[in-house]
Amino acid sequence: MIAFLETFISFIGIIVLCVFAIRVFKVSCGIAPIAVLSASMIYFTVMGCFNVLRIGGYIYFAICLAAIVYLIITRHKQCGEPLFTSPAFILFCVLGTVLLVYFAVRKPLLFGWDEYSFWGTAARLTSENNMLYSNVEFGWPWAATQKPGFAVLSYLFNFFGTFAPFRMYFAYDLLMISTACAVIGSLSIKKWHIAIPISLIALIMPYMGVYTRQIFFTPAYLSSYADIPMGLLMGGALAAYYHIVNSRKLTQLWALGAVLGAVTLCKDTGLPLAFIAAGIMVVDIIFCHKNKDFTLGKLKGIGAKISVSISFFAVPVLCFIGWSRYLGTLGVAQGNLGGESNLSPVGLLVNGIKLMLGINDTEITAQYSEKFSTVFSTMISSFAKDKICLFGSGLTLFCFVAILLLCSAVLTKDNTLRKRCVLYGVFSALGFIAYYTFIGFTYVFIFKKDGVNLPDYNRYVGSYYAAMIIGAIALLAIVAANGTRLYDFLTCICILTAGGTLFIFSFYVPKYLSIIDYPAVIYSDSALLEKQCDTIKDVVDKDARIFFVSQNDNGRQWFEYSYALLPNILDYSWGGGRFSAPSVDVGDKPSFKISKDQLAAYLVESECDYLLAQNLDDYFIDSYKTLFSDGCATYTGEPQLYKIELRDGYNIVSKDNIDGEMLQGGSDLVPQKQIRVMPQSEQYLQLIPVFTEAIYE
Amino acid sequence: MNKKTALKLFASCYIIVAMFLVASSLFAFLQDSIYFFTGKIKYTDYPLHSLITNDIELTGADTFVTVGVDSQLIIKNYDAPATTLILDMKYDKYPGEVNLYYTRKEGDYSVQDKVYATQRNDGSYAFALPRGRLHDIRVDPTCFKDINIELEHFIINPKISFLNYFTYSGDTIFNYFVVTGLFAAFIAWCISAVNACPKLKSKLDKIIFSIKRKLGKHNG
Repeated sequence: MIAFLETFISFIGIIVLCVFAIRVFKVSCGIAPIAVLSASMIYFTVMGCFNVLRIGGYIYFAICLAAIVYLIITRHKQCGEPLFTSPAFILFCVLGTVLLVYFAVRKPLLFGWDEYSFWGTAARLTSENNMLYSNVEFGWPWAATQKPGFAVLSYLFNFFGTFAPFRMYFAYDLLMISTACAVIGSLSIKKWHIAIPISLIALIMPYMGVYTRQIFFTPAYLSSYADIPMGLLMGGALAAYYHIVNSRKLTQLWALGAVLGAVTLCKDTGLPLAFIAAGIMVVDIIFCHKNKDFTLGKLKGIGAKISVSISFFAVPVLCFIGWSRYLGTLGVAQGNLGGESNLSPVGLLVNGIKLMLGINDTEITAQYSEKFSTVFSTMISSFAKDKICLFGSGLTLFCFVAILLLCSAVLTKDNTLRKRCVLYGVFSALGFIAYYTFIGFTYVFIFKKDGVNLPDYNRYVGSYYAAMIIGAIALLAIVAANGTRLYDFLTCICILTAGGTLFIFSFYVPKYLSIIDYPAVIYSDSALLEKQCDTIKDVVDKDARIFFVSQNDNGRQWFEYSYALLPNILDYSWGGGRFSAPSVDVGDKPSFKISKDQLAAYLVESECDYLLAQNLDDYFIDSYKTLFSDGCATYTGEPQLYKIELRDGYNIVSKDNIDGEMLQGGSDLVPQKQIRVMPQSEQYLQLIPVFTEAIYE
Repeated sequence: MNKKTALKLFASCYIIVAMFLVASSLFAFLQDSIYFFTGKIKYTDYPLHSLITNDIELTGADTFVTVGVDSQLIIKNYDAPATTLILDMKYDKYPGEVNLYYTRKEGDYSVQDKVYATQRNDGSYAFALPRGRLHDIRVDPTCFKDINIELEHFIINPKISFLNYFTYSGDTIFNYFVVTGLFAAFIAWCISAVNACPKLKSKLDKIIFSIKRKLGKHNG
């Protein structure tokens, strides 16, 4: 209940700012939510970069309070759009509240691998430390440099009280709802019969990546992966643009800079998406507006066109460079994309284009030419063949978009709108080619050997598909609302499209595997994990560092525990996996060959206070049992926590004071790391079991 | 269409569908009551030894142990309608997912025909079964090996409270709001399309007028 109220305050804050923008700045009801959320993302990112997130939050809510006071005082003078005759604003408020109540009752937890390995953990770190995750000292041996947009959005909704995953999901979902609001922004309440089907299509779009009947839980609205929300946000920018130019209140175009900036801050692939969206808008500005009609306040004609076009590109670039510079101050690689070749985005494009044109002049291009041809031939064939989204393959999705745009262009009575539909069709397709090529380049240059298998292809391409559909249905809604030929037949097409999309969605996604009706049992593993970790956190100090052993782990459990044990730091511990002494034969199973003395020395040097035995096997017990005061006898298959203690008479004043010899880490599975080896470690170190019973009971 | 008519149309669609929902629940209640009365469906405490098992073994009068990861308790050829299934069982370890599959006719189980258990206050597990005849019923009590299960009762068709018929699943609620909305939108479009076409409108008006007159005569 308290968490609900705390989240609700943030939600009210957003609504107040929306109302303020609508009533005072005369922003349209449909655009206000997406613009306010995007601007908040940028604001908190800036505050985070200057390391004043907490203060920034207080200022943010102070502004909200001031806005309330101002709105009350000047209530008679305001003009703006009436709030509750806009289906978009009603949708935002009502669906937002319903969702928040639902989440507060059901309390969903984290689910996917990458939620533990980055998105959820980053959001939690940011919220609990009042600092960007990239700035927090943490058990991960690498720096978290992924873009911060979603983590700070989650911070806004976790600002009061303690972090909870459902508050993070609510933040993301609100952003997706705001996209639907932008899509139906141009429709008044009189056009509710168009608003319902169009908003329904927009709200189904988070399930874009579903392409077959689901047999596992399908998170969508219960996921913190950034790909689909980023695609939707890009689509939202396009939808907002079409609404603005259709309503001819062009000064609102400045707000789109914020949305495009927010797209850039979602993920590394956000920059190309923001550029493509900006490109589509600029083309529209050039071809669909007469110079003399284009006025932005005092700016008029060609000057207005140029300045607004520049701003569409400048804000994403500023956001991108700003974040790179910030990472630079932390001593992390500036702007490079990492991966196999660690090129800069420009280097990636240059080398990629060289390969495309068949110039193998540098070492890099020569090295990758074979991989390049494999990746691109697979990508071209899978575009037409592989079913990867709700509408089938990429090709069928293109046909679907083309049909929608064709219907709009044929049935509209307005010549400008006809031109707009055609331009959108052509340039969103060209944009897709550019984006597809960019994704191809990342498979070639950034992904390692597995790049040829196109890992996570659906997820990456799905972002663009979602954006493309959102743009198309936004145009459809506008054309339908403006009146069409043949008894408003386009409205009927909207309803039929929505019915069809709903049918496919219902057929593919059983409700009990989605947000609508999921059983609590889906989160039982996550709940068990939290329960175990709460038990552990009850007995250890807040700043205790914990070493992790889970024989057989593929890394997932290490990520899960490193999330769930926060604020306690789970030591890197080689990221989970099997340990064994060099003398113990483990057959051909992969294993870190670490001697008992090396392990003991690592525990001391890394200043770990506890060892969490999540899963021990005979190899581990055979190798290291002499370090344990009970010889691992109290380990019964359930997780056990051991306190790491130096024996009486041993006292390590500083690391250099430890007697021993320095070694480079063991087998090739161990990262090259210097470990000190001390003889007879069990003489000075012991691991004492903490629990006498299974720890989750 | 003016605002008032639109609002009326919108609201009446939702009210009509809501009435239909309640009526169907009422019908289900009456049907079940009659079935119970005539004995077509009856309260059954299913004998445990007649269950067909897979990866799970009966070790005592009411205790099982799972011997594989695909443990199943199956009632073959049940071939009757059923309302609810209640399993009064306790696990010695965390069981993971508890679910039930059913078939409508002879054939394989499908993931589409699956029900998740809800745990009741007394710790037993309840499955709300779909309406209509069920051919086979299969309960998957756990997906882990070496779990001891104490299964006291395997009850088919326990007495359900009247109110239970009116608690709707998320699926139904979702469909109620969404499909009804789409339906209302479609009607609204039909009306506006008819209004936009004078010939069709005058024809329809005539038909409506004649129906009204006939009804009026009849009443008079």
